[in-house]
Amino acid sequence: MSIIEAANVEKRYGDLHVIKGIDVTIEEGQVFGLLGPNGAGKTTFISMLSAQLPITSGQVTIDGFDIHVSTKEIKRRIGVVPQDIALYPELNAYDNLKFFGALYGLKRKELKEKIDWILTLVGLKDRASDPVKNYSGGMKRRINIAAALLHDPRIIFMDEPTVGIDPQSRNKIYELIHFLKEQKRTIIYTTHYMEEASNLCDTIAILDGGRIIEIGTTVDLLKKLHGGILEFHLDQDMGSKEIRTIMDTHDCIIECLQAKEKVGFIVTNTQEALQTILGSLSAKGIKVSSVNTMPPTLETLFLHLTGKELRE
Amino acid sequence: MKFLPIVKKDLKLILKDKAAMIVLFLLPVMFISVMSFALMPVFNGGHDPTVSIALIDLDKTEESKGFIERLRDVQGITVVTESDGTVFKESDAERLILGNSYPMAVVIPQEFGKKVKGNEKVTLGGFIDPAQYNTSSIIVKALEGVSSTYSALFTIENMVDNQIAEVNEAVNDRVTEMSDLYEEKIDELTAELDKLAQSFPGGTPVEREPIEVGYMGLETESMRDTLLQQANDSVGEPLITVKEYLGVSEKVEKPDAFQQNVPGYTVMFVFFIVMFAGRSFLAERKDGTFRRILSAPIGKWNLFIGKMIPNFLISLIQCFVMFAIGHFLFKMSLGNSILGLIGISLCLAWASTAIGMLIASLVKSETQIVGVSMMIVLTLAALGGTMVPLFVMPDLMQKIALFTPHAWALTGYQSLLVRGMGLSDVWLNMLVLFLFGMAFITVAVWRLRFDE
Ligand SMILES: Nc1ncnc2c1ncn2[C@@H]1O[C@H](COP(=O)(O)OP(=O)(O)O)[C@@H](O)[C@H]1O
Ligand SMILES: [Mg+2]
Repeated sequence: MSIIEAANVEKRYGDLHVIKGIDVTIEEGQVFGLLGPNGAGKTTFISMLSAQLPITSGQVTIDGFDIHVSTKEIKRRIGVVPQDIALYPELNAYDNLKFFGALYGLKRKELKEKIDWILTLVGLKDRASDPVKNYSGGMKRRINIAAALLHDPRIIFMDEPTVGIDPQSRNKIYELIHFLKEQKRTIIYTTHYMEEASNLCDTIAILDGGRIIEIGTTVDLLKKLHGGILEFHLDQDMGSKEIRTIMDTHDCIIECLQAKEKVGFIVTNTQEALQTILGSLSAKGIKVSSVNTMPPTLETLFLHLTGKELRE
Repeated sequence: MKFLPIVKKDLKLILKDKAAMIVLFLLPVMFISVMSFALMPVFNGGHDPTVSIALIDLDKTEESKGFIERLRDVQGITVVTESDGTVFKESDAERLILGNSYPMAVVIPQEFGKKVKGNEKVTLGGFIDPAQYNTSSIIVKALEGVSSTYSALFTIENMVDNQIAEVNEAVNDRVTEMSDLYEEKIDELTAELDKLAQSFPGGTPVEREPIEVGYMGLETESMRDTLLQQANDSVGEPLITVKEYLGVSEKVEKPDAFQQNVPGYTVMFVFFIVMFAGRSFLAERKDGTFRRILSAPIGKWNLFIGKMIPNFLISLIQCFVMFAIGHFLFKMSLGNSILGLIGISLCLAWASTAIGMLIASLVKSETQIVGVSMMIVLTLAALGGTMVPLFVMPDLMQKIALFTPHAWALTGYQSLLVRGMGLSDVWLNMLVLFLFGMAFITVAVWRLRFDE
């Protein structure tokens, strides 16, 4: 049985339909990425999965517990890293961690050991007695994550944990996630950074407008783009007949995406394809004003799927 | 006990908050010190008679002199009727006040004695230094007290006199009736005897000695005295209240400025927790820490209780610190019932915590906290008599004060400190404070949202 099962989950705020029916199953030990632009519904969705937000309709079970029935059981098993830093700025890192650990029933010695362990892990042991308000953004983020891990949760929800921080802190967080992965923890990770998703996640769901528009293992998703996309900006419209002939004459073209004065081809290899396609076009007397080469990344995939840039 | 970490965390936070510590602890101590030393002369009767009033007697009768004597009996007031051997005249009044020598000048009008004896209304004239309004309003209360007992005495005297006259008249009537009756009988007898005598030869006619019939009146003097004495004893009570106005009761140790100000400013500042409760809720909502707490296996009730207890404890500590400072530093008497003080303090802390939760459930921004909560807290404090003593307020204001928890806490404390009462005497104050708290909490629970 999968550790997380969600079936036809919806969320409405009055007339606003924010999550429009999502089905996912997540296997234990996976890093599951929720990728999508701002406002896609990532935070809303994982807030529902982590029992912080009531579900308008649908079914969710976490580790076998029905979310409508056993919220306490579920909350004990999960750790939630909020999107915005939720710490007490006046308290030092140690006291913050002590408080959040105590909420899960950790006491004295065990609590102290856990705090020391996690502080070492996020590399902030020597700053533990400074008030959090004096920390840099990246350090705050690290404590923000640490606070969700003290009780050794089996499932960890992380909502954009690397937004707007320095590379050093970001690497620390990546290290931490790799560590958790080795520990066979299940991680649900939202982000709007492509590289991050493809580097960290085993499975990725691309979310847009409250729907999953593509889901699969990272490898499978990237395969959909083969060698990448070549986009030609033309001086004139090109008929679909002509496009068909071009596609047929070149083996390297897998799929064609057409929009008036713009033609895109998913190709096996952008370098090779560029030469041959350009040749064919000029042979037909079609003038090319510019060419756009897009590598086979999630970024490109998202653009290909939605016609929108992922980053704002 | 899942709320315990929340309690510890909030206590840690508020102890780190310098502004909170200053407002909740330093400020009331300062107010108590400054106000007590400034008003020491008003409250500190007994040792050095402190408030002097100028008194101008235009009547100069037994009655007016008696009135002045009674005023002199009130501790804390010195009555001055002359300076350098010259008796004050009515025209001196304004000069005496403006010269800053006296907060008040009182004029006993002509015919004071006559009117008092005749049970008519008398109005005392008074000149007041507006700059010393607080002092003079206390004196006015004292004057009213003395006047009412004094005039009551004359009312009684008149009543006693009337009573005696009536008794006399009634007895006189009966006696006259009797003597008339006897006289008739005697006349009849005399006539019979006369007839009898004349029927004998040589008998002399019988003549009746005229009988002196008359009622000399009862021995009323001693009766009048006893009656008066008893009546006086029974109106003796109000005189004591007059003395209490000036903070001098003979039943317990003398209350001083601190016994007025320590409970007053304690009550006032205990309610300042409201501001910090509101702030704390606002911050937790804004920073998402409420949401984070609720993402742990912690129920909303545990969170509610966890947020409430620290405020309750802080309020209790405030009470303890203020009374301890009052007692040990300023030598304020704590009355006879520590248990009573604890009881009132617990109920006061409960009421202030509850109103704190109420405000926290209502405020939506920092501006509202400063604006709304400060307005509520200061208005209630003023109405409740923590700044201006209740006893100098007009009756209507004193009645309005009953709608504030402040007044109930304050009068409770003062019963214990000033009147030497015990726990059982302040149960009503405790109950009312408790009910105030219940009402506030109910609304708070109803309105409270932990997330935005
Ligand atoms: N409490 C709410 N009330 C109304 N609309 C909301 C609320 N929370 C989120 N939304 C809306 O739901 C959509 C998804 O928001 P969110 O889940 O935060 O997106 P993401 O995390 O992907 O950026 C947004 O359009 C947002 O305006
Ligand atoms: Mg979000």
